Amino acid sequence: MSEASHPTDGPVVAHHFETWEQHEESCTMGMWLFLAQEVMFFGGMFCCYAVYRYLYPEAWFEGSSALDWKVGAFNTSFLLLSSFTMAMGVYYNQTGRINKLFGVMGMLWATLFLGIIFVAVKLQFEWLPKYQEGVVPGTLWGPHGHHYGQLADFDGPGGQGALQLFFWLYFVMTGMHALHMLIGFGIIFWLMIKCLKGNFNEHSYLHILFFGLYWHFVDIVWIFLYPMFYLVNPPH
Amino acid sequence: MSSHHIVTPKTYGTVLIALACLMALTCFAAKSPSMDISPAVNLGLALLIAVTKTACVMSFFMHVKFSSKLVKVFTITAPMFLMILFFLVFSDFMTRGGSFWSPFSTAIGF
Amino acid sequence: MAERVIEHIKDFPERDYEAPEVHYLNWAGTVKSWLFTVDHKRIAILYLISISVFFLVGGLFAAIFRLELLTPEGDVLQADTYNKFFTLHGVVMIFFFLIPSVPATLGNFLIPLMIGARDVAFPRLNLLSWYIYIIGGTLAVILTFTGGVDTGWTFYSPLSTSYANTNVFLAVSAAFITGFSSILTGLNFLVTIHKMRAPGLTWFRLPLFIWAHYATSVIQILGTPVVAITLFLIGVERIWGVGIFDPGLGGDPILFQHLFWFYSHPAVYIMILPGMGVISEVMSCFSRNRVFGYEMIAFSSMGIAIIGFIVWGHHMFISGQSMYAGMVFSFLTMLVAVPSAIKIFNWTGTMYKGNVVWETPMIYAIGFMGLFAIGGGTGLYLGNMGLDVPLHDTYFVVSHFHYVMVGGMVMAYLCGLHFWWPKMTGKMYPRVAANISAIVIFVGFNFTFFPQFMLGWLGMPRRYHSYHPDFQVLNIFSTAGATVLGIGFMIPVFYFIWSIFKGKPAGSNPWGARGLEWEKCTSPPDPHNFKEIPIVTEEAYAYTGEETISV
Repeated sequence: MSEASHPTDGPVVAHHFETWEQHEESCTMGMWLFLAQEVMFFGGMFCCYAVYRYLYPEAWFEGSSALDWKVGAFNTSFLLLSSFTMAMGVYYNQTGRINKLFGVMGMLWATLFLGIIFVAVKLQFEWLPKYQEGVVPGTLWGPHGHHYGQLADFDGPGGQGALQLFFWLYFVMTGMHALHMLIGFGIIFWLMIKCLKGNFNEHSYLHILFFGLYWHFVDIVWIFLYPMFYLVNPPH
Repeated sequence: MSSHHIVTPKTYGTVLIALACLMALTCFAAKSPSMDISPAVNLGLALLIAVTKTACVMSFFMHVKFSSKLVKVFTITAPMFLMILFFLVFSDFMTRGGSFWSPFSTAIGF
Repeated sequence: MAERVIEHIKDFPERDYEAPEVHYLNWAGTVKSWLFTVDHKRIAILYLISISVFFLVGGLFAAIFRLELLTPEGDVLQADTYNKFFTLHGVVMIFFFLIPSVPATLGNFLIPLMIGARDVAFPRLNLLSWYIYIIGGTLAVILTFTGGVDTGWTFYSPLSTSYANTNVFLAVSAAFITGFSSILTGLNFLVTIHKMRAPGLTWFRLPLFIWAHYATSVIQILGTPVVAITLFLIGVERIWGVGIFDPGLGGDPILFQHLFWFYSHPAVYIMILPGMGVISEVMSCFSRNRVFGYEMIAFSSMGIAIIGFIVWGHHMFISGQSMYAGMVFSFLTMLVAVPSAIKIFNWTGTMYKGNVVWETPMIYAIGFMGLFAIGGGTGLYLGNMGLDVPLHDTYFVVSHFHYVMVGGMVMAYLCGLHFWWPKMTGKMYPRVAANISAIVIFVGFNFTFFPQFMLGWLGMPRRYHSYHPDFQVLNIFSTAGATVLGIGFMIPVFYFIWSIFKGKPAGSNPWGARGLEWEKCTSPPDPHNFKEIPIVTEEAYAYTGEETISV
């Protein structure tokens, strides 16, 4: 094993692996298993969403029509773009361009920038107005104002309670998604430091590749969240 | 040395354009008056488009298309188990009060 | 660091009965070398110590409420305290003992040895999982000293979210955090088993212990996140005041039960499957016979893992779940009995015409088979929707799952510990004392829990601190049995600790067992497991019947 742990050229193989292929495949597999558990983690919430949407379709329409689908579309496009920049980051790493504008560093900055826009828009134009106009489930519930005032009039099946369930799920699911993005920002900073230290080259790209997988996963969650919250159609 | 498949910027760009188109399509399918068919159809369309987008992101951005069979199996395992969760949870919620079975039971006169 | 160690490693000693000069236990002795180790064997020892502590804590709770149940009146404990004690017993035993028991200790120790690898795939992740477990465990200890929790380990909403006045938030946090330790262990094992096998070790040459852990890991990865998010939602609901399961808003508490049992039913297979892996190894070794129907046992492990995900509704027959869904779940539950029965049948087949050797692990293994058959069989009673209605929430259920969890899993855990103790420590324990303790545990266990079947059948409900005086005789039996059982569990603690210091050196293969961990490793193993990676050329369990016990 000692010869394997002192490569003169190429990637560094961890001491308990025999070959680089084994190392790389193991790490790839571990990352995909991590994503599988993330799918199940979000899946539990999606199941709650599906059940309550089934039970209270009218409340779902009412709640959804109060959300601004154009802001959502704007945000979706930014997130999709950030996925693209991240994918390009992987490409630049595999081709050996690291600390350049069109290199890993530039792509990390772009991804970070687009991600921050997403979260900022979410805070400023979605969560904050809801808080100010009383669209908060629980004791603070009391929709008013010109954005959300019409919610107070809803008395369809399920009533205000079902509406609160909609917004509770909205806050928890988009909140958990945003939390994953914030964790992603932290990892981006860590990766930038590693970039500056010269830890990456065309042989050493697993960190960027795996962070890319994580980032695309977060993107996929949003791909489902967007139509499920912003694009609910009225029941006939 | 890089044993990992390198996907070209051209592919990534094409996928991005496809994703943008699909996003426009999902907005159109949900908000255009001409698409106001029925909630079930619209929900089905929205999910179909979301799954298509996911397939694009996974195949190219996440390199699944170029990965080993094992990775491909892993990517579908969790969604399959989620389907089990959804299916059996709904087997409860859809049959409470006999609503789901009533058409069948009336048909066979039971 | 690794290089420095290698310099010290001598050739493997050919002489038996003597421990190697440098092994994983003694190559470095500082506290730091233990707390920051990435060696799977040392992490297994860390886990072994921690789960033993939690087993003791959980056992003490049980001892106290068994004492309370000696008399029909509530005299030792008040109703509220009693509720807290059985809840803490459940939380500690399930999340902090049973789930990590075999995988995190024996699994961690043995999987790399059995497949001929130097370590698990992600050694640092392995250490992280132990730290996460310790953080969760610390929260559980804080919970105990800050008023406890009284909802039952199932945290059913709306009791846990709206009505309980105890520290539910801390309890769900502890379970939530510990869940991630379980996920990381499962992730590590899956990758290790896929990618780290020695040359020639094909899937169907793997020991069945490995297959069992593979199946367990699948459940850990796919199930645990669902209960994590569910407990998270409960925690948020607890803080926020309203939430998704709140009937006040039109939420459905039964949805909580669905999500909870989607994990927690497969979780009982997380607990029992590794135990079944242990039994397969021990049965084969001490019958001196190849396991009967190797492939069927391997597939039945996977079958249990998958079918285990489609039966959870049998916990909810009287919860308000749709009757039709209940029927479906009841039918599906019958399915899961098939792979379990295949295992029992095949182990019996392994013993048939073998040269059965009556060593301590074998006594435990045979005890396991009997007790698991009773526990599993009564599980079928309870899986039948019609019969479950009168038996639900009686002592029949309590007895059923203790037959599986204690009679099955704890017996299997002790079985494995006795089997691999010479490998882990290089020392042999006093075998007469061990045989006695195995029998004491078996007898004590049956005395504790068999009367509970009768109590349940007579209609005594669970989770009450007082009961009708007619039930007293059987309860006295049960408490007396629990005392014997407690003593039985204490005996191994003494002789295991004794054996570390005074035990006879065990030699690398005291049982005459087959497998890489016995045939290619010293006892205790080298810090790097193998001098060189072994090449496997034959199937597992190639017993000839000629092997001898050499202690």
